[in-house]
Amino acid sequence: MLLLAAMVGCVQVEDRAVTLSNERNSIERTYELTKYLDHQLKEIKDTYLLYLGPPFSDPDFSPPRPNISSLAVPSAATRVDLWRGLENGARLAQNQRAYSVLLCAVRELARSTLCPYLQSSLLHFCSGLSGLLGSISGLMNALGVATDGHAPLTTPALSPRPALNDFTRKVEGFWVLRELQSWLWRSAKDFTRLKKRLRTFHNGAGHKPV
Amino acid sequence: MINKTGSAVSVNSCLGGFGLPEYLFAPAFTMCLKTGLWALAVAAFFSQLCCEDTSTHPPKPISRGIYVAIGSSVKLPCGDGMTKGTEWRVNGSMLVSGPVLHLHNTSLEDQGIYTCHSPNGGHIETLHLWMGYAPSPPVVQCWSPSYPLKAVCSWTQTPDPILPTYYIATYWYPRTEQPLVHSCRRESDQDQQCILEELELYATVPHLVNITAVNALGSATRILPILIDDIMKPDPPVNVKVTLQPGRKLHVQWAPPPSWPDPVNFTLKYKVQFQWDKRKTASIMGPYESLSMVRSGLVPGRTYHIQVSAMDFMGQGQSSEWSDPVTITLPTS
Repeated sequence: MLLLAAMVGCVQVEDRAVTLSNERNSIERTYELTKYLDHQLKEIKDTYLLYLGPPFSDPDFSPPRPNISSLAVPSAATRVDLWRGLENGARLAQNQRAYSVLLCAVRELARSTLCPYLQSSLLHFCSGLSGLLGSISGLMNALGVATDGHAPLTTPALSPRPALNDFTRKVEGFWVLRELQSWLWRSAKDFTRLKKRLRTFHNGAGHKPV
Repeated sequence: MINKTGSAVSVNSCLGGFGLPEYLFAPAFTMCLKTGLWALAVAAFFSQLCCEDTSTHPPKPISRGIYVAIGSSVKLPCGDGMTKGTEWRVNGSMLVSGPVLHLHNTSLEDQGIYTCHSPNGGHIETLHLWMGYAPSPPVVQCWSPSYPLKAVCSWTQTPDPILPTYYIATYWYPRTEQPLVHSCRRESDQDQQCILEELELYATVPHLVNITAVNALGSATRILPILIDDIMKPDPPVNVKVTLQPGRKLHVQWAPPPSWPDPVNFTLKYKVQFQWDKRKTASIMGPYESLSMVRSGLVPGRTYHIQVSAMDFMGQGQSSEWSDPVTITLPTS
């Protein structure tokens, strides 16, 4: 009986190790996807700013961030002490909420873009973003974290579409891409931290992650 | 004193009229009055001795300093600027005769000590003339060698003001709630570099750095917006070691810069540069996230100079400068 219990225990520990290994692999893939999207965004952003024209295409141009409900993107901004202290579930949940809103916003941006090449690039980017969102939700499920689900796809994050020469519309588009950039930078660090914490947890089996 | 009836009365009797006994006052009051009058006389006598009689002695020369912007013109009156026969001298030599010294299109060479003299040679005024420039808006550069904990801003002035100039350095992050203005930490008010702490990471709204230069000729301000994640620039990697391995391979190892506070969570990637032919030819390998690499296919007898640089693993900000070169020569056999 004792031998049987020990064997069951060993199998459970091995199962847990395999699960953790799967999770680390999943985080690694999510991290690589984040880096890929960041690389794509650099190219799209340059093209999009040229498309918007001056002053958006001027280097160092930065319009004030509109304080409007239509740009309801959670800010990635944080202080390092708060960021370090985030629990795994909370960290993933913040990412999920942000990309849910950003996915809708970039879809709307793509729909309102008249340049076919840019529209195609933005839609392709949306596919990647959707993949990232799915990956995050999968991670949350694997770690037993409650997910919010995706934001309703029909809810636009931007104002109803006026003419393209609407300056406010352009400012909104500028800020969507800027928020997206910040989140991709932050997410890469978030997933790096998650990887390290799970590795620490695995190496010190039974101890809480650092 | 004359009373109501017209007869003279003494002071003492007046006092007596106030109900005070006369015998208390008669000798004491007289004594006090005499003493007081005597003291006044002595004071008046000595004041005649110690104080200058302006009718016979000249007043002390005035001494003052004036700051003048290079390139400007200035009129310097001697005293009231109207006394005829005065002359201005510089370093003891006569410069101009007249009560007003007029300097046109001033230059640094006009800096010096000017003295103004009366017709009889008496020294009226000493003027220290300091030449310089009013501050111009500082040219500010910021980078973060210790991301995410610190950033550094340094600034220069063109042209150099020459005059003693001090700086006020502050920064703030425009939060939705009331933003706090932080002082950018420096060793002294003359330092042209300061350290920012308490940074907001992954912010889309930039921090605003305010550098104000002040001197005797005026002040000038620069406000620089910075996104902390954009200005990462690690210091060069350290402890670069190169060892020869069998098969004409070089094993290169390094360590992250000690100023980078958290290389675990904020990973760096590295590039390795190999130079040869007196450093005219180079090849760069990487990036690597590890802290070592092996290069094979090297040429026997060749001398290689190897350097390493670091960068944020997402490619944010700038690469570090190259580390100091490590030189190794491969054996010919």
